[in-house]
Amino acid sequence: MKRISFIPLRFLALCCFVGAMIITAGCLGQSAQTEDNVQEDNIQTLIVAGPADFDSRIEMKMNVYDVFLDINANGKTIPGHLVSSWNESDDGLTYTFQLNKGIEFHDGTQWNASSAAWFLEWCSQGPRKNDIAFSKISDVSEVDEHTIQVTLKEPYGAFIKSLSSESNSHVIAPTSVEPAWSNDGEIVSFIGTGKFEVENYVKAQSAEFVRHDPASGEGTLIDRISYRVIPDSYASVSALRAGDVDIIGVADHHSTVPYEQIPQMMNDPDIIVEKQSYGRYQVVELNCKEGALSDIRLREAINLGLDRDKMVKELLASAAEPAYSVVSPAYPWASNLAGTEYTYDPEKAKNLLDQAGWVVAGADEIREKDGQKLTLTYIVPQGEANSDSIAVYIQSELKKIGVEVDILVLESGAAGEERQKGNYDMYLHHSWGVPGLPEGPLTGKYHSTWGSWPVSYHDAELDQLIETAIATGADEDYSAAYLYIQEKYACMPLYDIEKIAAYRKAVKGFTFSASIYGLDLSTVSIEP
Amino acid sequence: MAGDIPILLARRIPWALLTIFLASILAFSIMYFAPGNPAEIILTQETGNEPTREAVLLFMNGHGLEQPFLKQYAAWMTNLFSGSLGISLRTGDPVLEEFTTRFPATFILAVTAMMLALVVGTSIGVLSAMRPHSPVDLFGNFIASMGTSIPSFWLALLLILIFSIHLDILPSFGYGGIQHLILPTMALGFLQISRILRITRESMLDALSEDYVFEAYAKGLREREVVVKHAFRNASVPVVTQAGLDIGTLLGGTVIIEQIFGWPGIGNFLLTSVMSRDYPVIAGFVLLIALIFVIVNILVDILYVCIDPRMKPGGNIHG
Repeated sequence: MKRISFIPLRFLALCCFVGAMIITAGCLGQSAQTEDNVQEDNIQTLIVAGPADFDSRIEMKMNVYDVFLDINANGKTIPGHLVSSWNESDDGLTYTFQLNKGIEFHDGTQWNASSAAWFLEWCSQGPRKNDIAFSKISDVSEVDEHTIQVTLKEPYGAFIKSLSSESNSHVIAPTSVEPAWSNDGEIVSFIGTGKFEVENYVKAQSAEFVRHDPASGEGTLIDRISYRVIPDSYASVSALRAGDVDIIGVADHHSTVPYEQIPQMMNDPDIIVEKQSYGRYQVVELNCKEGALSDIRLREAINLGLDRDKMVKELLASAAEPAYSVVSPAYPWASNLAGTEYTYDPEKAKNLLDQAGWVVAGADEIREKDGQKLTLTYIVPQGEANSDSIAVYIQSELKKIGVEVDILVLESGAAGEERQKGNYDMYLHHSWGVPGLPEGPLTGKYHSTWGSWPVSYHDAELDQLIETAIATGADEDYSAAYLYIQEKYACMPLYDIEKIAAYRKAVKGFTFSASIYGLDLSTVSIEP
Repeated sequence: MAGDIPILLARRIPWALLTIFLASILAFSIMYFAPGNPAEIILTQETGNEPTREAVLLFMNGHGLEQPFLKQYAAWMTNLFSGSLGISLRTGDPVLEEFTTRFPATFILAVTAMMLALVVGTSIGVLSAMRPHSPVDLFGNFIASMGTSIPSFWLALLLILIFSIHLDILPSFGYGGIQHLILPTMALGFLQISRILRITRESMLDALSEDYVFEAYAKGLREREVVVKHAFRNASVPVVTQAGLDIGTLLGGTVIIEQIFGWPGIGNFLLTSVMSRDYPVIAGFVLLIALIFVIVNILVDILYVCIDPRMKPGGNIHG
């Protein structure tokens, strides 16, 4: 049978067509991309990549909104852009706020007693009413044009701190809800008092911002921000390397830049990598109520049996700082932890285990007591940064001192349920950072009735220390509570989860904010 | 033939409705009884820290999550019959809005990947069957092997590395013009190309060995006519079946591809909702995806009837 040669020719033509389509589209893409990055009429646009929709993340909103009160790098509440001062009544029920003058929202609405009172009423009756602080509000009244008074239903010590929370206390305009000025209206537009206003927002894709006061952006400072959603952290690194975005890692409070990518980026002459500590620790929480770790000697042993320096160097590319204490000693509320660090000492760890009656018996070199092997269940919730490699490392390190670790990786919801039941010996967890520090871990984990960690270390003396610290707010009282926790070996601190930003070399003037949730891009410029 | 389609629809639609209903109740039940409290998970996601018990209780009361399962499901069904799929616990927006905002992007990606798979897969498959052991056939086998063995996420990252970072001719992420569609389509469609290619080749080999093909050649018909009008038409039924089944695979496969390319589809949002135990979103999205899947299957059944009259209701497949 005669074969006609049209088939190979057609196939070749098809290949050529597909190839031509890719190249053509590529050229179109390139021109579009070039158009994206071109600085028309000296308009400077910064392209930021983040892992989630603009409306679901706090950080990018911090360029659009101001928070009612501000915080400093030590997590202390301070006056900010909107409020100049405040005072509290002796009974803890009434707060009087002095507002700054001459501030207006992006649409021209004045920031004054009316809009401030409306904001707090909206918080207590509208979509934010489930926030504990706002649920305590009984009444808001205008004293004069720039003074308001807030009355609570009952004293709430964390009220002022809550007003510096970026997530729930960023101030919106009364005209940004539907219907305008209604106390329970739903937000329909992004109108704040921040340095940038939202020009365009496409859900789940992007948001475009323009500087609200163009005069404040004179010189080389950026005029616009273009925010793009890239959920995958590795893809965001690729986008930065490809020049499709200018900066990554800043639009999320978790560290979204993969640690293992850091050395590669640091070797790239066109990329700068910066780190900032917020005191947020990756820790292994311990079951101090039941099982082997209810014995303090075992808790001390496993802490001394872990070489944190090696862990950080080999597993995290030295992109993180090892943690030797339950809270970062760099802060004033942990000033007395010096000299109590959990240093690597495997011999002392073995001695402690011997003293506790756990001795090596079998060929597997796992310690035993009363016929029971020293086996610890280690729950690792999925999604915790670097969790897999760290878990295997801990397993191998503790085996050297005769402790067997059973790693149980669970979906985060399932892991949380096991945590509530106390079905673990060890549980991987990321702790609080500024502004959650210093009270966060104390109230959330180590107070016997306030927190949600039923088998963490609790006792009456610690409860008293925590309650005193919360009541006085004094650094030395917080420090006393943390020292007590440190001496009880209540957890196994691993490393400081530093926030990592990576940006193109042309980007200048980027600085980290005082809070892990903060982000101010108004000081950034792009070199031509 | 047109008269057969209403009969086919009358048979299929009741089963389709039952399937959709069962899929939604199953999704809602599984998520409800799965470990993990949505209030705790969502509040933790918002701030990065564990919420207090008081905050969890406030959230649960605010969203009716303290109610027993049957009450919550009844409320969801009541909403459904009034045309609402409820409100997302995580975003606070209507579930239907979340779906309609994102689904077009997923649809474009899945359909483009399927079109690419059909065009490339059937072309190479037919050529491979016509020229067994030729260079084209060897190339086809190579593509088929690669497609089934390369994970889509790895291929996606490789494509970004080549076309975005090194060649700098295609964007590494984003949603917009045709240039944004090329890399995700290639990454998503590669597995489907190999599957369609294999099944086309096998079906065509069977069809080309049938008597009617030799008869057609004996009549003096040109090869193009024999292949396209006779052999391929008969060989296309399993290809259509495979393509119909692959729609589900593609909708599932978009999750990772959307994540890597920052593609604003339903995949990543649904995955996050599952992690958050956002019952209304999961149940609503499953219901809508099941509806789409059922519609696609009905269309495939109609296509069968168009391709092969023996497949019509009451038709004799052995006739």
